[in-house]
Amino acid sequence: VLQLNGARIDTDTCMKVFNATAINLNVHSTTGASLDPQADFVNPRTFELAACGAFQLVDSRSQLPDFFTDREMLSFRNFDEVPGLVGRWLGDPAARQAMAAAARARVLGAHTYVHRMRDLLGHIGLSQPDRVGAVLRGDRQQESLLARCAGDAPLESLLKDFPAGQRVELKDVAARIRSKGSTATLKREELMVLMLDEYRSETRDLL
Amino acid sequence: MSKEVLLINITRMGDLVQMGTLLQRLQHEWPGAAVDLVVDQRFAPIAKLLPHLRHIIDYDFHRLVDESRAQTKDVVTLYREMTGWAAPLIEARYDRVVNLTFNRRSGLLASYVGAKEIRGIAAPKDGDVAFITHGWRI
Repeated sequence: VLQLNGARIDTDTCMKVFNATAINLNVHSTTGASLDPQADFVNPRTFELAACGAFQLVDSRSQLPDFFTDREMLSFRNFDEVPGLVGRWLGDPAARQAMAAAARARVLGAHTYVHRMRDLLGHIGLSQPDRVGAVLRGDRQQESLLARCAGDAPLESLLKDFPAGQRVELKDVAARIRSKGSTATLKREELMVLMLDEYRSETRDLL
Repeated sequence: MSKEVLLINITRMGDLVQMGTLLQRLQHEWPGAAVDLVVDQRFAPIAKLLPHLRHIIDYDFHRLVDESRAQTKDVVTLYREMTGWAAPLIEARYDRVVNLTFNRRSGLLASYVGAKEIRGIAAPKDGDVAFITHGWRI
């Protein structure tokens, strides 16, 4: 048993403990004598252990399948199962390593703070949160936009007449189309830009 | 070969419910016609209750308003996402587009998709881009 007289264990030490342990027993907090009968949330330790590539045995949670498959995470429903599971998995280091590696890959691919922040910003309408950074880097200048057209000739035709170095937004492309006046024949790509620009100038309740 | 029709009815619950008559009328005129519907994703569950629809093609138009207004996406990203979504509509080569949404945006979408015949608001093939034709008005 690792104890430091109630002091917090720093992150580096935690990682060493996690990785030096064949089977980490991850039990969520509960106020009763047994496991929470309505266990729902998944604690941060589940993700931290997985991110370390450490093998863990976690008490079953209703939200656990939202984050990990049963090939990535081993769980139990009551304490009576634990001795048998520990005995079985202690004897199979290769299987432990495979499951821990799968859990780690899942965390790095889907459950980091970067993923959560992207989700959070997306929910408040900032799905491209680096807008200011993109402008400062010149990502919205004509030549940068042209480079990202990926061979889309109609799209390139809409941008090519803007001067290099000029920041070009949707409203600028739409204004250029409108400036052609009443004798212009609208191309399909121009219809698309005008439609997008109509949405830009609208409010939500007037769809 | 059966006819193919696209209906544009982006939002408003009442408009969707009242579309039942049109769906019946289309089947009377063109028996077996394949009828698709463009609708905002919030109304897609309601649209699925309607009969005689082949595909319900939804899009998050609310998000489009946010993303274009706040410039959270650049013009290339916006354009490519929207054209990617609309590509199957063009490829379908509809015999008729019926646009039931009464605004300029839907009219531009109707013309963008294109069809042998467009009923309802559409952008003119040429002329003043600020003008929207409407075959049902005098």
